[in-house]
Amino acid sequence: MTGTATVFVVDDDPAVRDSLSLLLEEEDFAVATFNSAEEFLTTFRPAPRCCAIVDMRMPGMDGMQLQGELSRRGILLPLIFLTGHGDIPLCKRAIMAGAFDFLTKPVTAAALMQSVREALLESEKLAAQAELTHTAKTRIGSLTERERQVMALAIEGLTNKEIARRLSISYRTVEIHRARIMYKTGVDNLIDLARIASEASRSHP
Amino acid sequence: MGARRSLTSTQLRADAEAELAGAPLSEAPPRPADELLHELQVLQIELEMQNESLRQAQIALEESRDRYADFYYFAPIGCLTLTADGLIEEINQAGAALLGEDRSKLIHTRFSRFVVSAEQDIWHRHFLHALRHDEKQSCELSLQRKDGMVFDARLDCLPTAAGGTAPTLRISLFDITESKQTMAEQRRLNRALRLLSECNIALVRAADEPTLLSAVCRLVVETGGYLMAWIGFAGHDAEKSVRPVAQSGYEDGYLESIRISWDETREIGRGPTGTAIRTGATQVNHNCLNNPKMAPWREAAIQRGYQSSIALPLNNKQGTRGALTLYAAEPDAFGAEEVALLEELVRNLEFGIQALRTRAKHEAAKAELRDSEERLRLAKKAAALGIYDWDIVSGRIVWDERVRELRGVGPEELITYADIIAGVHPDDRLAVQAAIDRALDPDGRGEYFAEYRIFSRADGKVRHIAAHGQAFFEGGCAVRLVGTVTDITAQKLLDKEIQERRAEMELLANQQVAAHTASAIAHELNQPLVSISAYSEAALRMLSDGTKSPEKLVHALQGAVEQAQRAGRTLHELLAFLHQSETTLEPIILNEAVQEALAIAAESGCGEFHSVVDLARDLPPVQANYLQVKKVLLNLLYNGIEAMRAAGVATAAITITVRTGTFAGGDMAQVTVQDSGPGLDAETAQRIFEPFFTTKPRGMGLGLAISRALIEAHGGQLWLDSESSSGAAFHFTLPFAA
Repeated sequence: MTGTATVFVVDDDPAVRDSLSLLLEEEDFAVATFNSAEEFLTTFRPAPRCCAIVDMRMPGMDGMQLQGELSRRGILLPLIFLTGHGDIPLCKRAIMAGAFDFLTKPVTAAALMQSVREALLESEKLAAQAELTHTAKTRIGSLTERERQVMALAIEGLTNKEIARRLSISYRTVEIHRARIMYKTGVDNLIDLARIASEASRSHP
Repeated sequence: MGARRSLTSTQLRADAEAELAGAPLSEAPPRPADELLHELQVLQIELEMQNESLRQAQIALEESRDRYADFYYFAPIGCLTLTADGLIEEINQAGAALLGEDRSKLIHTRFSRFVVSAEQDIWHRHFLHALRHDEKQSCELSLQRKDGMVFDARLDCLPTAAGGTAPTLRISLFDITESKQTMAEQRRLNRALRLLSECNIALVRAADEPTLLSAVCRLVVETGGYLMAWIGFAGHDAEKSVRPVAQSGYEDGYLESIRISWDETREIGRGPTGTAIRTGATQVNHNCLNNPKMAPWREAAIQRGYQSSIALPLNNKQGTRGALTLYAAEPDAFGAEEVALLEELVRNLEFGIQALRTRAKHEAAKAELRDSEERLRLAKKAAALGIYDWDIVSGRIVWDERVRELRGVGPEELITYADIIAGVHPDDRLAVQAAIDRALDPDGRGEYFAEYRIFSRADGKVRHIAAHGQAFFEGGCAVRLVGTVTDITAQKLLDKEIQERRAEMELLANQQVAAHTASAIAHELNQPLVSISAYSEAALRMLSDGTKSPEKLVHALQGAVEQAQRAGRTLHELLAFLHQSETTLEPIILNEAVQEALAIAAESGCGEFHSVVDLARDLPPVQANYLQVKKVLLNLLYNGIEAMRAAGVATAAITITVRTGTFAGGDMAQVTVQDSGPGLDAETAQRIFEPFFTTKPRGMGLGLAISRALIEAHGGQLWLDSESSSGAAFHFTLPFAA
């Protein structure tokens, strides 16, 4: 858990940016700060392990809007919101919309660090998932149209004989398609095939 | 001597014998010649005696004849003898006088020339009839004297049949004009009396005025025998016309065609009816033919056979108002006694009209009373009004069924003043008594109004009551208090509900504002706190880990200090912003702000209170923001009203005083708002201006803090009067406009 973890701090208040950076750097995180949501959207570089601490209330685009924009862009990034105690309904909405956590100001270092670490773990999971999905999509993408038809019916649990009858092709042809599907997707059983097909159907890359 | 002796032949012979025996007789025995002589002598004497007797008789006869002649000629009744040809053979003086002609000129003239032409036939038939009958035959005739005057006469006729001579008719002639008139008058009087009596019956029976007037007119004609009768009332139009209201008898459009007025300046206003109405005196029109006052109507009256008339004024207490006018078919129909009777009739009629009008008024009043009672009953029912009537002198209190229902008191139970007060909620008793005392104060206007709670004696339920009333005074003392009570419980509950809703709404609004404000404050303060916290914890970690770079530690601590100072600045700015936003100061009339705030507070429904306003006149304008001053006043008013209501003060009162106060910095306008509530305890008084300090269950605790901040922003002061004897008193000052 060291080395490559990056924490983005998005806050319009320079003192907050500065103090949080100081604290996070003490914990050996790489820190990148942004004075507004807009700046963050235009300049941040996704990292393998990263999360963002975002002030809910900011001039211009606020935390909720930033979350919406990231989601729209398909960017998977755990967000930790900092809020005043009056913003609880807002935070609830943010959590429902997929925010990772929210912390009430003024936040303690312990709470902040725990949240950041959990967010980074989540980030790793998200990255792995994304990788998986990417791979699956690539593999499924290499199948021909007929092979996809055969795969879909096979996942439904139809036997080769039934598939042949359904697609009005010979049993033998189905067998050849199945072998090619297994070869192209790199799986050796039907269950793994179904998993890959499911992963590939995810919307996020 | 023997003139009156009956001259029978035997008596005469005896007398003559006695006469002769006295004479010297021859001694010789009677001889035939002597006897003859004696016989002759007796005869002679008899003759002489007879002659004497006849002479005596003649004298007596002549005396008698003369006496009779005198009697005849000078008799007080008229006597005349008519020949069978109807010529006057003989007439005495009285007869001549009756006919108005000398006796000498009457003899051998025709009697019938004195009979009025209309009765010539009657006379002729009577004359022939009387000649043929031996008994007295009488007739009445109208005779016209030589001078043209007509008189009524009775003729008693007796024929004389003197042997073979032509019969004559002896006539006694009486002037019966007077007796005939007397009789006619008597008849009329009788009729008038009967009329009077029948009219009185009609008076008793009449149900209404038109019926009575018609009945009287009808009776005047049918019973009184007059040709026509009508009743007219004086109109008060420009013409002062007389308006017929009832009529009976032969009229033939008379009243339709004529115009009658009671205006003296007009000719048609000076007739009998108009004059009677104007003067109130009976007007007798003896003869339509020659009465100059009848000129406007003469032709119409004569056409209809009206010969005379009488107009009898109908008077009332307010003056003349009409007349009853009667028309007779004869001239001079109205004798004094008849007039007197008719006047009595009219007086009775007046009384009858008056009685009927009174009765009609009474009936109308009764009907009106019934109607208004009904209306009142309906209104009372609709408004659920109860009525009370307190006779203060006797102590008798009348409650209608509604009041008794509200009070839970039975219909027959007697009520005393103590009962009234006992039924009032204890907290409201003083106020009710004070309101009654005010109403009964002889120097006041006697108006009574109070709103209070009562307990129903029957079920113990509490009701809100609004009572209105009016006291009546006699000799400087209240003697009666009458008025209404209304059950306003529902209204009160509604008011309360509305007020609670409003309070809830205000609370929500206030909470929202407070939430926003708090959120703003939190954000502003949290930013530096986040930094301070982070800087400090970073510094702590650096220290606990053993500082690798002191510059970083300094940086962290410096950041913390700066942020702490920033937080303080932020707070100051925030408060300054809250206090001074939108504040534009201008010269304002403080009294206007006070009046408006009072009006708003009174309408707010947050509680009833009585306001006493003592405003300095001609107070110079103050330099202030009108809205903010009003807000401060309202804050103080609401606080007072709510404090009084919460404490259940019976007579909630707020006194606002505006005056010029002298302070170290110079003169200021000073406003004092004092309530009649329980005042503040020491602890509350100490904390009252603290923000978020409140004694109310749902208050924000910012009102006084903000008020003080606002007043201080104006350059004034707001403080609690610690020495106030009763209730809470707040003062604030504002500078005068330069």
